[in-house]
Amino acid sequence: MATTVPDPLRVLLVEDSRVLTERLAELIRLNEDVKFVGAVDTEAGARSAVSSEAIDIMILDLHLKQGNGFGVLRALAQAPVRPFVVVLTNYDLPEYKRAAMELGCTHFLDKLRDYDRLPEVLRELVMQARARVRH
Amino acid sequence: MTTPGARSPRRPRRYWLVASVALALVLPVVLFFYAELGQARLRDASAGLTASEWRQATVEELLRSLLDAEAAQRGFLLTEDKAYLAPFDPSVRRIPPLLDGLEASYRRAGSQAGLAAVRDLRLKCGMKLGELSGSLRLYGEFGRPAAIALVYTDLGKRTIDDIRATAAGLLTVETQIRAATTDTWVHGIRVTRALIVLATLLGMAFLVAFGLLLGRELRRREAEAVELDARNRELDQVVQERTRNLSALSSHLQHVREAEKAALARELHDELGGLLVAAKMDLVWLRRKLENGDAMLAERWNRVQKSLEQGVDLKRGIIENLRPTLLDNLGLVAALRWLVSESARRSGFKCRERYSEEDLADLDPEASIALYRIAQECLTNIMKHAQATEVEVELACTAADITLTVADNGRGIARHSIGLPQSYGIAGMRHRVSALGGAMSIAPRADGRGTVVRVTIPRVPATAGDAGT
Repeated sequence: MATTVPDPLRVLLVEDSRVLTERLAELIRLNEDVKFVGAVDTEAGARSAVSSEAIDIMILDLHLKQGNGFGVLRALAQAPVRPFVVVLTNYDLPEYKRAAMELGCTHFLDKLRDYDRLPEVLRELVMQARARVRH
Repeated sequence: MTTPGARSPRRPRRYWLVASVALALVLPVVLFFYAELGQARLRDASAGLTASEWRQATVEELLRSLLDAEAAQRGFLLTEDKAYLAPFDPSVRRIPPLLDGLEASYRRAGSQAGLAAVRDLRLKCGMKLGELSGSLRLYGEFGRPAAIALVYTDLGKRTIDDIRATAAGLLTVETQIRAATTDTWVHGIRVTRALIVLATLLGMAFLVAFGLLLGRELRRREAEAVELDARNRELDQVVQERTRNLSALSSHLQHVREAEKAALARELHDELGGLLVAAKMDLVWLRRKLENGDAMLAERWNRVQKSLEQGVDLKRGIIENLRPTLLDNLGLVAALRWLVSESARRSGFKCRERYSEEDLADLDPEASIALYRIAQECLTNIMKHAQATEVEVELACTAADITLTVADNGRGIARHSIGLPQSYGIAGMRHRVSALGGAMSIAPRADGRGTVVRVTIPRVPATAGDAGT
């Protein structure tokens, strides 16, 4: 039935904690429809990764080693091609969620409470992307 | 510089001053008494002169009376006309009282020479009168030739010459007495004049000395005032410098404190946060493996997860207190919104908020944290002391500066407690504001209830790459 296997979606992880990066990478790799392209831990790294590589999905932490997630979101808001952005953060205040949503992120996940929703969110995004390609 | 050692050479001058003042006081008194004395002496001299004139006149009258008597006797003897004799007796009777008056006057004047001359005069007058009345008696008893013969002897002539000589002597005595009196008078006047001149000169000298001393004293005071002024300025400078140093130290401590808190918050977030979340992730993994495990394990799993979540919440609260993450990520406006809504939620007051259009995410971090901490302090004070039901927070921006206003309808701050050193919270706010070159006012609200705190700080553009921590 599936004669043409669609390219897997390319996922970039922006996260400053090494411990979490390992575990998140593991979790992302569980999904066969996506390809984990790598992890960066600064705002500048995220920006250059987006401009140099085709990124479909970005898992973005708000707290970074340099700059912050909002800087990345603002930069992306001006970019011609924008990946899906899933914010995954320890900052659980509603102000953060509202600000991130206004800047165009698709999902806002609390690292602690919503972490186990990540695989589900990835699947959802894959479906959205496929639907977008088909139409 | 005035030192105790430099004062001592002035002492003798002080004594000199005291002496001259005493002299200036004593001299007029002496002058007064001397003048009074001189006045009495002048009165005496004047009386003496009058007496002398009277005596001179009396001597002349005596001579005239004698000559009158002699003329009457001669006229009668020559003409034998009784009419010539008429003035004889009155003239003779006038002579003894005149002699008595003269003697009394000389006794009063205490002139021995005068008294001797009067005695001599009295004797000679007696002789002359004896001669005159003797010739008239001869005329009565022996006729005219006998009386004429007596006249022709030179007895009468000698006697009258003697009398003239004695009278001349008396007049000389009078001249001497008058000269002596005049001398005394002139001497007294001279002494008085000398005293007046001396007093005037001393008075002038004293005035000049006093003027010089006064001038020197004034100059000294002026110099002292200048010196005092300089010393005050010096002290002022020292105080200002120390205040500046203390202020700088205080700023530094405030800065360090903020920096330490920020570092601690970062560490908690990075290290502890990471560990807790990693534990949670592993727990999720375990949960998947436990999918069909027993109920006991599932319950334990839930409890561990809950504890973890509580731990993370606690950590988030601590971090937010140490360093408002919103400030670094979303800017001052977002941070203030959160702060105000949290305070309102906790203490139940109603809040009206007005914020600038800008999010102020690129505001100088020092200014951001200062304004945030000031708002925090105000809200804490309102919650602790004001018993307010309504709070107004306003953040207004111009190109030049930012103004934060926090007003409440509570019971207000006692005016005297605003400046108290115990009001460290307010002092801390003031310090933050002045360190940024701004101004702060605390006043009752226009309607008299509650308090308005207004802070204005100049807007310092943030340097590039400085946003966030």
